[in-house]
Amino acid sequence: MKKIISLASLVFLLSHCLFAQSRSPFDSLISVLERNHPFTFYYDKTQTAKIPVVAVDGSLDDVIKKILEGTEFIYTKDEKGRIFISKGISFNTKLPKDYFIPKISNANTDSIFNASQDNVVAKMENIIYTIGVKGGTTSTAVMSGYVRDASNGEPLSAATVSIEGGRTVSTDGFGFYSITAPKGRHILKVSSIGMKELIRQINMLGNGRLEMEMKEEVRSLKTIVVAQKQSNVRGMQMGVERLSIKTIKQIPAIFGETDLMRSLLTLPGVTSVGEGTAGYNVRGGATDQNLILLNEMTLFNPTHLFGFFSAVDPEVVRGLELYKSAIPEKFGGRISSIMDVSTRDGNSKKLTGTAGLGPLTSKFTLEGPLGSEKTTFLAGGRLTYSNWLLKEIPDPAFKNSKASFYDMMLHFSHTFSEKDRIFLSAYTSNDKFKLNADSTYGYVNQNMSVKWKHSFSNKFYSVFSTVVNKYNYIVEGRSNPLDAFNIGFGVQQLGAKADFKYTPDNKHDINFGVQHLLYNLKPGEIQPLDKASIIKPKILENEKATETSIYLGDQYGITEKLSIQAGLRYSYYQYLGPQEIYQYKPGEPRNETTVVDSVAYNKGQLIKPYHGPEIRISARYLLSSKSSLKFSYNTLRQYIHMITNTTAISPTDIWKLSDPFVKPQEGEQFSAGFYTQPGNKGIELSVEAYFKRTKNYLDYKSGAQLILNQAIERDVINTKGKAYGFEFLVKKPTGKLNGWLSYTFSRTFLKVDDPASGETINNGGFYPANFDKPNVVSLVSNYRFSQRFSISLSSTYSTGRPITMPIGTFNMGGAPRVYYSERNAFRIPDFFRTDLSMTLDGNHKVTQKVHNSWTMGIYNLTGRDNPYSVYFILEDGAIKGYQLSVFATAIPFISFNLKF
Amino acid sequence: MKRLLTILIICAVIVNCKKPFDPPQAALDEAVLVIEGTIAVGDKVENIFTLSKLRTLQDNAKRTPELKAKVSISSANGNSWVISESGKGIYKSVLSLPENSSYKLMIQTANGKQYESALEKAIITPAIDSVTWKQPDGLDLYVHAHDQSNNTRYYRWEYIETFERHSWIQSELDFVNGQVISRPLGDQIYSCWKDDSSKSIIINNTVSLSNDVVSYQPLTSIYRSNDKLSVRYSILVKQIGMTKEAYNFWSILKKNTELTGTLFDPQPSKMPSNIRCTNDDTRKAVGYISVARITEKRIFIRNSAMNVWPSQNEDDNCPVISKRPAESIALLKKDTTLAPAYFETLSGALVIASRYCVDCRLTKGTNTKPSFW
Repeated sequence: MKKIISLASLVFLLSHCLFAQSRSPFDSLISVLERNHPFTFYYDKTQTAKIPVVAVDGSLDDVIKKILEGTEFIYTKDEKGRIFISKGISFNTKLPKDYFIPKISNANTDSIFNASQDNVVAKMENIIYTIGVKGGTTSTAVMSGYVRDASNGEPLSAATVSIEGGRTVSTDGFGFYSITAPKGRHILKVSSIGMKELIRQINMLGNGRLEMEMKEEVRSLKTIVVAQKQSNVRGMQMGVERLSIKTIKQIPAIFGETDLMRSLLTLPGVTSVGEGTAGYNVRGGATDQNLILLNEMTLFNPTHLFGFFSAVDPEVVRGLELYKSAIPEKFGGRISSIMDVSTRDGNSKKLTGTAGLGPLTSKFTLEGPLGSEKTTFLAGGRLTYSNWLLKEIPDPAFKNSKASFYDMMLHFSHTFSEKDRIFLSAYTSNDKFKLNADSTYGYVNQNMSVKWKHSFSNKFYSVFSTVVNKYNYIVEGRSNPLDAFNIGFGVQQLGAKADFKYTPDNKHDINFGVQHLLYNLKPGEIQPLDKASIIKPKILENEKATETSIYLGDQYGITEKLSIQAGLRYSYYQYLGPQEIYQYKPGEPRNETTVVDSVAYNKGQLIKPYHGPEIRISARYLLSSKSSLKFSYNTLRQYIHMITNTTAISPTDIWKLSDPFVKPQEGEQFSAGFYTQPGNKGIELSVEAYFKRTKNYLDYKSGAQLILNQAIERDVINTKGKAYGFEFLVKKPTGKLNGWLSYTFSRTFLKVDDPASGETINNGGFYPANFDKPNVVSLVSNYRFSQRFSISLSSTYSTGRPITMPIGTFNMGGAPRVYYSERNAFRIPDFFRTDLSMTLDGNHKVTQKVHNSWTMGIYNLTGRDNPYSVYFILEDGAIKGYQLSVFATAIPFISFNLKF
Repeated sequence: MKRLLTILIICAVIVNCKKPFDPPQAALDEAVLVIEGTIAVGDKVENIFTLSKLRTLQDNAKRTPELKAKVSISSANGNSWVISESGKGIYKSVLSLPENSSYKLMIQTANGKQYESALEKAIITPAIDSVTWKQPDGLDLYVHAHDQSNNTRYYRWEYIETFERHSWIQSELDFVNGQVISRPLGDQIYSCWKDDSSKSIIINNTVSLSNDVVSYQPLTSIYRSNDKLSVRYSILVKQIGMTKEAYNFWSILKKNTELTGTLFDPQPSKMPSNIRCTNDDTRKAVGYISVARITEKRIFIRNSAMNVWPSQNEDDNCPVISKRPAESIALLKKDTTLAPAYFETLSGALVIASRYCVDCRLTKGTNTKPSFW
């Protein structure tokens, strides 16, 4: 049916051209030519009226060529004796040779052709888009533009745009791509997870733009053949994991609360010390070595309720990227991983929203255009009513306890022109926990960013951004009026940066930029709560520092098969006054007795600079179109440290800036990987191996005082670390059955041999880190029974984490006491958990105003009692061992979501 | 649905989350000597040290004492005081160590290993201001102290409780060689006294306070109707000032055994020690020897001074048999768990009852009145 209509309209269009109203000199010439040659001419009379006609001799081709010379007109001749004269646009008169075979061969790039399109299938795919204007001396041209979701105008990031037989590029966070190709005819393929692959025919005459809108993939119940999708094989990056929000939502989550951080734990190389804890460890890195970015904003504590939930509402998120090894040079500041969470820009076509109801939280989003398509907004929020949960706990310790939290996200984008776009994001999260009505914990994240994207040309654009990141916590204690107190901590980061991307030709892809960060850290203060309290107020002097970095990187396609990405980042850090710094006897353990002096620095005075290069190199070699080898080497530096002595991240952990004693953390990682896509079902296989070394990660002396310590250098120890392992991943991103299975082998060791620490751990030898989990197997699977109903199952097994275990007992202080083994010499029992969830969508009628969906499932299906920690206490005069578990039974959950 | 959910969640979060854990058997480091005690300065003060060996977790023995060691105290100026062994790994002597010197503890074990503690200056602990109590429901005891010179800052407390309890039935009779006789005046079995000592580590510091003031430092809590307070109760509180390092030792010891369990507790720390083996580097010692003046305070609490403190009624456990004296004596002869209680004044019958109800020495301590009582 469609075919017939297309054909009819084409015929109509062509015939229309023939009805001349008045004859121009050009028309006369054509009539002459038609009389003398067996050809029929098709052209637009009004367009051609002004073509000057000169006397020419020669064959038909010579005559037409001469006449059209110097005009924008081109002519196309087909085998059926027709000649088309068109302005600017040339069209293909033939279908590509193997049009009916799904795999389209390298198209003929000769622009002069002939004939009509008498076999149109899908309108868009079969139109040849001409890019740019003919002319210029170069043999290649650059095409750029945005790739968006057709339904709501959202940009699609990390979509791959490839020219068949040529280059492959990915769209950036704005959905923007820029690709260079030889001039001529090409077949362009665009793919993005969850979207229908888009194929476009283009004719590149010069530099130009092409915007593309992708449609959501309709999963048909019939078998579909999945063509080569966006894959790990061709992409330059290694050690990168991408999760779209759709995938994240498929992973069953505790209480049905879709959780970004928790979803990371299903990926190879990412672990955590236990369930219900904040923070994650990437390839043997500590939790403070992960940078968490939400639209460029750094989140210092991205969790709620002591780490039970992540603090970013998944409804506003487009997806996340986690860089584990080849960290692009534009990122820096942490040595283990970068998690880049981007929110959606807001629907540019219509006002829509969602509302969700779960057992613990309610959430909503609202988004849409503001005035015109050019301005969009997105607002999202989440509120808890988890108090009832605490009330039900039959433990007197939780009597009169209250917990509440909320988070909000606001995002605006505005398009001034094709060249200029501006984005504004603001985020806040707030947590309050009242224990026994006499102690209150509260913490707040506040972040804001403004980003301006400016394109200088198709090949060159810039992004300027500024950001404010704030994190504060307050603890109030009033159990005894005499020492009622109030402890506060805060960290604030102001940043500005300029990033540039330049794609001069099809071989280079250059990134460069500069970043400046200003740190202002309030290390802690304690204040008496009221007059009766005799707490001595203590305020530690604020810490100030700046971090300036510049970077330059180039992705260079040396040959079709070999590409290299080489980048260098140089960071310069300054620890600034005002501050009073103790001086210690060199080479001796730092404590009160080895203080020789103290130096007071003035405001803004440089106390200690640190600087160094960070090398980011990676290479990819295509073994075939379906497999590749990659290698990367990275070095990284980190100037901010988390001070914590607990196994899990706690909300009262503080951050510390590098100072003359606390040196910046340094990391170095080698990794290599093999990626392949066997068969044509879209299955991806990959193996990555890595070796990592770190320096200056902080550990603590026995009995260290971590908060309100004005000479923390006396209580910290620098450690060295090493980690190695490999990750094996099988992934099936699409299809009725989709998901992944990963196996990770990894080891992480730390070592304390700092002579200035005055004490060693494990006699100065390597010992396993708290998060050393040698074997981890993770399965995430989803089966879509129909458009409306799907089931997800996820399962994780890991070796128990190491603990320091009591090995002996003795009597002291009137009771038995325990004697502990060397650090982390034993392990808690292995971890295993399976979760199940089902999603039932309401009907999909387009006319329906409100769409609803139900998600229900069971967390910890097998009810396994996974120990979180093992501990020993004195009970009735004897030492007793206990294991502590969180979520030790199967927990059913249900949540309801609305979309309007 | 919601109800069900609630119950399940609670189970998950709290109820089911704790269960016993049996540690794997581990090879024990035999070479660890455990030393407890404080070098107490001042006039005629008892210095007590306890030496023992480390035991495995599975070992239920109360203590594995280190016997036949030679223990002495040395001062900075070379003086030495020998501490004598009194059995069960306890070494004690009453000494008069001058307060203005530094001391260390020297030990030579039976197998020839020599240990010594670091030489430390004596800390002059201030006097205890008061020991007070509150009775919100049970009885809570507190200690208060201050150091005018703001020097002490780090404190540890120990206490010894002594309490008087009575047998349920008062008897002045005894049954000897088949005869019911009157007990001699000094040999009553109605009032008994028992001691109990602190079982937890009580430490605190005043570092964050502008004055070196300890107020309402909890010592212990006695649950309501505990028979420690059935008649009269006394507590002797000892206060020991410490260095920061010693405080650190006790707080780690406390944290490692008493405070673990929540999700955010610190990891077990390595215990510091100021004792080392001087002739064998592989030998380790556990303990921290402080040098200090120890101050003490004793208070008494009578049952009548408190709000109602119900004592346990033992009538059901102590049925009495009232028979003519000859019959009662016959019963006493037959059943040795019985004891004579008293003669009924009117009928002249001999009342007998279980010995446990008559003789406080069997369950309630000794019948010797302590000197301070």
